[in-house]
Amino acid sequence: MSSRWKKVWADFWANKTRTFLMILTVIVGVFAVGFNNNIGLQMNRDMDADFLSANPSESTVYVSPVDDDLLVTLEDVPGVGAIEGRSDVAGQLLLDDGKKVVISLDGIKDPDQIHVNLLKPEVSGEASLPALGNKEILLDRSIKSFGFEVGDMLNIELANGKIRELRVAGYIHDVTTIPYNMMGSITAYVNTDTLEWLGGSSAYYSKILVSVSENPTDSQHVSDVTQAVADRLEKGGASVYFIQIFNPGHHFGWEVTQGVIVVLGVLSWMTVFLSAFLIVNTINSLMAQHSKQIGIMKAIGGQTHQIMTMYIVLILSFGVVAFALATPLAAYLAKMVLVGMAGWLNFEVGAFTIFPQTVVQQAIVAFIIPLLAALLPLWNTARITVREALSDYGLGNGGVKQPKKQTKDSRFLSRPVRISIRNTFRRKVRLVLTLSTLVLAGAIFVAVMNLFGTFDKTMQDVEKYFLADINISFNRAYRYEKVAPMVEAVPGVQRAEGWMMLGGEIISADETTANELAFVAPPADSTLIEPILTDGRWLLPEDENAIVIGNHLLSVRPDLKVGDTTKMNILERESEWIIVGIYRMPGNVVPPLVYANYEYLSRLINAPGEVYSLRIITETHNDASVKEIASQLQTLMDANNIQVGNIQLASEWRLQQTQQTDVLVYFMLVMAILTAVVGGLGLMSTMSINTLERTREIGVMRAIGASNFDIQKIVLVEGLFIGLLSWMAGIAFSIPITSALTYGVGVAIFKSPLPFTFGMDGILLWLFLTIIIATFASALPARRASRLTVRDTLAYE
Amino acid sequence: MLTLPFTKNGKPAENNGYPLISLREVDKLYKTAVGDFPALVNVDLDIKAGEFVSVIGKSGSGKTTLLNMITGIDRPSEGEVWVNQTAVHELGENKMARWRGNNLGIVFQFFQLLPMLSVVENIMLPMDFCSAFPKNERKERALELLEEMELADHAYKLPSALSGGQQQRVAIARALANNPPVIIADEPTGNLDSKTAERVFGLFNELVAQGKTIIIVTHDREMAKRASRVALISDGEIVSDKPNGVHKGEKA
Repeated sequence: MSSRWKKVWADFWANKTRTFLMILTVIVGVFAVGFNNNIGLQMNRDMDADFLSANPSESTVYVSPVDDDLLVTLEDVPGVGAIEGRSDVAGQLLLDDGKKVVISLDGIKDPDQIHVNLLKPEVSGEASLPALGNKEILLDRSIKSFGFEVGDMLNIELANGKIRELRVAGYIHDVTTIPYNMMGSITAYVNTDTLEWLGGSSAYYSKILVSVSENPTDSQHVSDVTQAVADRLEKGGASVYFIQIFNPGHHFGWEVTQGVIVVLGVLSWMTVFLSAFLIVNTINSLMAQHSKQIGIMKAIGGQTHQIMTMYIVLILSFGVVAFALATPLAAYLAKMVLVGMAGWLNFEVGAFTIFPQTVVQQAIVAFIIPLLAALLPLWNTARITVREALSDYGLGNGGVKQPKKQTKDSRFLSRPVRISIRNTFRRKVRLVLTLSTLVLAGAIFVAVMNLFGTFDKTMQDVEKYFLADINISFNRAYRYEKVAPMVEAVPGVQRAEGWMMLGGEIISADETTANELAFVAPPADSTLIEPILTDGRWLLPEDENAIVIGNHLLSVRPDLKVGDTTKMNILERESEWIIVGIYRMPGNVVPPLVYANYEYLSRLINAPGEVYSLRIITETHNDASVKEIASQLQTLMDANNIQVGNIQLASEWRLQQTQQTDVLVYFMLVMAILTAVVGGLGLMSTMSINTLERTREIGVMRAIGASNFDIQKIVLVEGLFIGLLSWMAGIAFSIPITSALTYGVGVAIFKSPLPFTFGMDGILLWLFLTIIIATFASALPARRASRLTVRDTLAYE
Repeated sequence: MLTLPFTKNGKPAENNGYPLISLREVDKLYKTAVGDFPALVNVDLDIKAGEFVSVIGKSGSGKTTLLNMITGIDRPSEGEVWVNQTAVHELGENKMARWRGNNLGIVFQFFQLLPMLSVVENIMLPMDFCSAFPKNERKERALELLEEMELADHAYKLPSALSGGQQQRVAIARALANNPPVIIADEPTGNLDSKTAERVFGLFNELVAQGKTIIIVTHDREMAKRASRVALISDGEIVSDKPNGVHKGEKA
């Protein structure tokens, strides 16, 4: 190795703190990009691969009972690839702790003879599915957490109150069904004989699974083919209740994960951007420290390009180490997270893959970005003349003119503090770069915290439509006057409102198409709904055929507006309704909800005084007492033979919903922490450089009596001062980033921009973190500075 | 007696009758916050090959600026600088670096060895930059130079492990690495005790005897007298330039 390259190696190895900081800076970017890319690419690939391997249906048509004769005619509908009829029985799974979980039992002839929405063995690679005998049940692996073993007997309470015992035949992997942890209900499978025994029908089907022959991801095409199937069904004498199309051709989690991946991708590249700032800073200081050496090399014959090459190799060597460490680390952690995500979203993780495009991006972050960041400082210093390089003797330069005001106010600040504040502004370019890194880190951190707040606000907005503590859904209509007093007699229950929920269709103006929707009818005097209106007004007690439509219906029928009269199909009867208002509800709601007065709707369908659900408000609202009341209500309903479909607690619903946004929150928190790490590294790097540059000054101060504490205080206060400056600027910059995040995440995940929320939590937490980061980042340089002896410092060159 | 390794002969560089170093009406003006400062004023200086010239003067008189003109470290505001038939004042920075590496050996007051490289690597560095010798010969040459400086035992130490005098001898060895015809030294003994300074001057004398041209800047009038010629500079002007009698190392 020639002496040139030995110098490069010595520069790399001799200053281990600087090398460590540089490598860590690059690692953060390489890791962030690799981690997100690996997760994104593999998740998209495996999620859809697993989903598509089950020959999924793109749509489901819910109908009045259809027999095999009508079913086979559907296979001839143009565009249909495969058709399968299913019928099911709803019930509740009774758990040992007395809790009940809604369960849907789908009847299948033989698990191996399904053509659409295939069931797969629990463990990938197993040859066959478990045999499904009479009075046996197949469970999806996503509910293994319940702890049921093969051979265990499960008690299922049917809608009519009867309890049936089913033996667990085994577990399967049902990738086309939304798992319990996301839905709150279970889908399981029984054979057709068992279905009949449970009260279902094996000769007739209540839902038709439609798989299109081509363009499975084309929503319009899927919608057209499904409509043609529905038309054929109706021509065959069946009634179509409802068509469900949800992200055709993709796993149910696909839409959410796309948004997550895009948002995290943006954040990871922002981390790279921050790292680049830090690299510029570090290279600037490296070059400042090395300018004399560069002068010497030039004095003995070194040319600019030779010196440039040496430093480029040095920078690339930081990248090589960072790349070598961060690439496998990002891949490994991505795999770990992916396995967790796959468990949560219930898909099979395929063979772990190193994606070339990820490695290329990581290589760009490891090699090209640092090089680009370093190029200007490198070029500027490598071109320095020998005279410029060797003329910088004596005390460090870069002092700032003392403003008059500072002199006037100086009695309020001790001299070491004033030195710290003046030192802060001595290297303005370095200060700007350090501040930029910290400000961006702070802005991202505060914005992510604001996003958490936005999620909370969104949940609160959604909850305004579901203000009850407990919701009881009945399997059939009951008279309000019968069930309400019963419920209100339970201690702790304050009041119960009888609501109605009913499927329907909105017919287009030219009467050619119809869109599915669901009527939600609270009583006119309901206090359990506080809608967010964007136009018009809410329902008044005297309203008859008035409806309030929402943003979800508007997304499929953008022509609708307040004052319009629309035609609806409810229970195969047409009626006219006037739109009096438009509400906004965050989230993706399928089918869209339309609000009408209970009194009018119940009369319209000839069921006045009958309710399908009770919304109950308790006296204390606290989780423990609500749970206790729900348990008492369950017992009460059972004792009175009231067929309950489901009892849902608001707190459980909220938990279920937040679990979904929590994943995004945790990912973003990781990104925010990474940016904070980069910011901290930037400050540490700057403080180290500042201290190194001022070694002589420190020596002079020590020579005239400065104690260890004085020296440490000067460095620490400077670090804290920079930190606080960045904190203030970070708050301002977090406003546009919060705005962009709430818009992007809202559109990607909730289908509409989220409300802009700006809370104090993020600001105060970042202040706390800034103080910790600044103290930690300055502590090491401060300690180093205080340990220098006068002899060492004045001999420093 | 110092004998230089890998040199074809010990004779001075060919100059075809021209002076090896020539400064013509050189002015150097520094612009400062308090006004223009003339560091050099109308300087004319010719130095022949094989001369050993001391430049003396008070602090701030322009000694180092004069050396910087010759080495190309600084440029004249007016006038011309010729070294070994090269117009130094016209060279660009990059060409200058390579030219300097091949034609001049510079010795600094503070030695300016690269602290992260060993002694032998410091000496090899100019050879690496200028490709002055075949790769496989560079280390051998560096070790021989160290041998001549009586520092062979320290070849693999870092500069910080050496005394000031030893470091300065390493710096001289580095200056000789590419076998340049001219050695320029700025206060080479300024940081050394008198005994060590004596030894360094002894080395310079031996190099002159080998045919090198040496120009040194010094405060020490006694040391300056050991050169063959002494130029006195004051306020940027050469006020005295005369031979110093027969030099100790010069053959009669």
